[in-house]
Amino acid sequence: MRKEIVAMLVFGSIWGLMECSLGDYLHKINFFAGIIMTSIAFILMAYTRYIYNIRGMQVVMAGIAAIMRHFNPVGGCLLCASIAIFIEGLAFEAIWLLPWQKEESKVIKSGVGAISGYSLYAIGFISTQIITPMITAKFYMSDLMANLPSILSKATYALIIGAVSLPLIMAIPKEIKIKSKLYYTASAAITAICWIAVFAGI
Amino acid sequence: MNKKEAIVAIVAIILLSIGITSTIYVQSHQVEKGEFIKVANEKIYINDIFNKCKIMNISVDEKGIEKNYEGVVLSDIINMTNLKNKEEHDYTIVGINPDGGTYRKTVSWKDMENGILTKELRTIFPDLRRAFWIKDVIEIEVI
Repeated sequence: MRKEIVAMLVFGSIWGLMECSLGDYLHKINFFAGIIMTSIAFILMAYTRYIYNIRGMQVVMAGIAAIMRHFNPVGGCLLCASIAIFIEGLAFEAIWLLPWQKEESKVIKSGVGAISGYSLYAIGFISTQIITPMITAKFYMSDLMANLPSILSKATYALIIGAVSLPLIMAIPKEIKIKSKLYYTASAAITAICWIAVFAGI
Repeated sequence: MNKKEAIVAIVAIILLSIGITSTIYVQSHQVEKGEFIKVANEKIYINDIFNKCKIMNISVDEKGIEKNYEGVVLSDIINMTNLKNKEEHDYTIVGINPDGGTYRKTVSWKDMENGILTKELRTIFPDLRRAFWIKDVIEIEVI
């Protein structure tokens, strides 16, 4: 179990660093930030679930990434991004509670990838549209309804990426042999680099 | 195709259909920036806004970094219309998304008094999260 806890920390930290660096940059240049970051989040969560197969691991990873995003000293609307990241983790856990992982069918793998990609993007985005105004100002249902077509439209890209990526992720061999000493040393180094980079404002 | 495959495929196809329908809706409701902003159902020309209203500077603390923005106070733009009892209303700022569709957020009169519209037609609200900072503003609705 110790290896799995370390994996949560490492992959959560990598996710957090990606959100703070690549996510921020994509937002700045206005280039499909939400779609790309949701797809990266999905790939990280799907890969770790496939390798470690522990329920709840991905929501912990999402929690770590959300904390890093919130306390990152640069970037816009940190609250929205943190909420979206954590909700994506919860949505992933909910979808992956369903008993399909033992199925070998490509239709199921591709279909679950599509459902996960679409749901993660749509639920994450809709949550920020509700929670952020509730915390900082006032929530208007009319605003959400007006923004909904755009959210549901963009989620289609995440659906396609999910449908393509999940069968590929599940084709990766599960057995990766790394010596324990190297595993823990490399994990500690990667986690430390991620956190230092985020708090340094990269 | 077994039962599980059929269920997963049907759900994925339903979501894909929602996505495609939404894309068609967004594409058929594309809007572009014009020479005016619709404010409380009146056309207010952008040139008039920046010629007649006082240009203000505001500084916003963005995680320890002071950033300065220049623009017209949003309540001054509302004052250019014939709207009465302005402080009793809320205001929905409508902007254009990168995909050409619209995006909107509703704020109070107090926020309108604190917020500005920059020359790039972007709203800046020093007291609100950046989710409320709308780019390419085309309309201010009164609710």
